[in-house]
Amino acid sequence: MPQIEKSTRVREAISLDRPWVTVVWDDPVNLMSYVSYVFRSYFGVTAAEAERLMLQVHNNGRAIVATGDRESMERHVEAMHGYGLWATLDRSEA
Amino acid sequence: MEFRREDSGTVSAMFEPIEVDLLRNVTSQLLQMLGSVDADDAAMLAQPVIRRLLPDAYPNDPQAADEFRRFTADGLLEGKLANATTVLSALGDDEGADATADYPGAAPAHDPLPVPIVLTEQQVQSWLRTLTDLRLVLADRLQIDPHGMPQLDDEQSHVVNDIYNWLGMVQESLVYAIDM
Repeated sequence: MPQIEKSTRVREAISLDRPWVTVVWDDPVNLMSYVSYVFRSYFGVTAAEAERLMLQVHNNGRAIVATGDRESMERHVEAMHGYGLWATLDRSEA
Repeated sequence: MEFRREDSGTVSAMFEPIEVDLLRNVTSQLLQMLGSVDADDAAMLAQPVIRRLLPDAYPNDPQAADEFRRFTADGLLEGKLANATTVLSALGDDEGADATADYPGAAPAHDPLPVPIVLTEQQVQSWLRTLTDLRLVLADRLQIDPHGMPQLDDEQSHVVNDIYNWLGMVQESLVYAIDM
């Protein structure tokens, strides 16, 4: 499954020419267990992937949790704000 | 206080009456604060605590950030208000004036019984979000630094910090109850 997802992402990146990304930032308030739960329940990722993203946020200060068109990323950011997570959107650097 | 999932799908925990009062108290304050936010008031939106509840979606583009906030702030605030109202309703009615005297250290006039708190899946979602909002507001008040340590060290802040940590415990207990 991860293989398929990866190739989908690559295709998206090519066709949209620098898509948008949803970034979740580390904050000292939100609990790791909660952040992990939000990733799992909102984005529907596996527990392992949610944990990986959460640790990336925690250790690197931020993680890209979604890639796509601007409208979808705004929807994700709004949802993250609803959960109380610190999220932003930006142009993909790729 | 520890939440457990029931066979029926609900989660439940026994709260000490003092815990119910505490949560009711801080949630009422949150409701009041959220209710006073005017999404068209730029000065109000510039306050750090509001900026954390409604963060900039575009950190490098103030204009786009303003526009995003204009489209989302009302809905987000409505959601936060509805969540806090849901939390309050699950806590039941205020027991009366003497309840406010039951803070740590104060000798209770009687030995109050723990209160069962039972939450549906939907109520849990509101609780998780409101507990986060409460912690974000208290973190601002305590000036929690990037390492999670409060920068204020006066007596009042110690009490607030205890509440902040307790709210985190409640949230973690809820997450484990529904996520494990």
